[in-house]
Amino acid sequence: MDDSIFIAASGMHAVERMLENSAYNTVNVNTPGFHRQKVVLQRFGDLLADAGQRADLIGTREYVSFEQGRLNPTELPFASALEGEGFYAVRDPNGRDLYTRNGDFKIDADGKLITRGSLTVLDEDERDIILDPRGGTVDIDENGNVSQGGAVVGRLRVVEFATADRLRLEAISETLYQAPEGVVGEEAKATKVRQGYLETPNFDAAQGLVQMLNARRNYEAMSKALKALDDSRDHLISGAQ
Amino acid sequence: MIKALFTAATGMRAQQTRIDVISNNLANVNTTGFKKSLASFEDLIYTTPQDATPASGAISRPTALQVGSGARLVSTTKVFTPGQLEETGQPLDLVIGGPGFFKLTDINNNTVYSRDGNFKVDADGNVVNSAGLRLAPALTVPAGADVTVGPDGQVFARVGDEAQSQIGQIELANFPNPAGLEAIGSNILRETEASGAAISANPGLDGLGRLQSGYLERSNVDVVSELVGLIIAQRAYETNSRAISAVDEMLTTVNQIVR
Repeated sequence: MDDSIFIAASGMHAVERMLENSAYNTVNVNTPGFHRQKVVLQRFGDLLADAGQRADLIGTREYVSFEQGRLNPTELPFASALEGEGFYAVRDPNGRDLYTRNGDFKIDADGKLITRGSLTVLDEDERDIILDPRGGTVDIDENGNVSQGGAVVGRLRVVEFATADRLRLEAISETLYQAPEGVVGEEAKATKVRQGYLETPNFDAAQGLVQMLNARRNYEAMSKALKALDDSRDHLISGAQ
Repeated sequence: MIKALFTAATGMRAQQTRIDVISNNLANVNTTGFKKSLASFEDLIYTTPQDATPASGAISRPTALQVGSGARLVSTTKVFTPGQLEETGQPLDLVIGGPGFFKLTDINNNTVYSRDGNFKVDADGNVVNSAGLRLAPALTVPAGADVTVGPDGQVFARVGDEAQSQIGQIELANFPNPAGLEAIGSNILRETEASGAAISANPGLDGLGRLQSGYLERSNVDVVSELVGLIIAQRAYETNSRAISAVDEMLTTVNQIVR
């Protein structure tokens, strides 16, 4: 029996993944610091180097596309967007180091600078940044220096990754990433911190709609191919009788 | 396949929350001392285990990135930017020119907080807010007195031709994290674990704003930007609903392969 019908089915599966991906990106069109996830279609032969796999089946591979989003002004006092390829270093309650581009920060009851999801924002020496509620307005300059009432409190830890390493970051939520073992970020050189702004997703609703339309039509086409293959088998069987 | 359906549904729910928040802001565009809320994305960590096949190349995490199934949360944050001032000429209409909250005593004798400085004198001479809650610490105005409030919160009264005398001191409170205060309606905020404990001081001290008598602080809701937010949320809602119809059509396609 030939593989053609399985190839058509694998194509349909791949399109399903693309649609899921578009839906996921679309859900996040208003999530600050979100970067779209991309799906590329590939032959399984390329994806799995192992011998013995069906060579022409279509598989998918996903990665996060870290192109810069637009910066949108906000009135949230601590919000700071990143311009460039860097990430803020944050730490979860278990001491795990994570990275994010979502600069929608707030402070907790002790005056500690935290992310919207309550992860600690680290300074360049990997310590907490503590602000004084009586200390006046907080300014963050483009190098990440946090100052309150004119006195510098600390400097945000902003790191950059080599391109290949950046693509290997693992997404643990829409805007949080974990570096795989052995990958360390270096102190950012080209990334600027912009207080008073949030980064919009690098994906918009129009792109989502086009992708969904595209996925639907591809799906139909592949289902037609599958049907044609089925019909030809039907012919074969009825011809034999 | 089904996953995209649920993903889109969570997106629609998130946009609904946004629209609820915006509607509440718009409804309070004329409420004295009202502070608008923003719907914020909360980046909670997913517990989904990583199920990626081992890497074999630079860009190779075949499936592990598909963590976000869209189950995202939106929390609301109060934005404490100042509102515009409205002149009223009433001496007990007060505006805090900077950070800080008026302290009030609610009916259960708990201290609650508000930016609304629209104070009146009730039948017993107590200074109360527009909902009848007493100012804390309590302040009583003698009958028929002319009241003046200084920028440092000192309250003076003069009855008839008598000399002016101080009758009290208005205190303000601030919080380590004012955005963590809980709004309990009628422009009243309550201290929470997230806000931290109140720090009381006289106006003008400890980073608190000074008082301005004869003015009210209007709502800080900006109608234009709220409407823009409303349009964005509505369009995102629509787009998410398109994802659902796309899944539906694809399922129909599958059902039509075999008659």
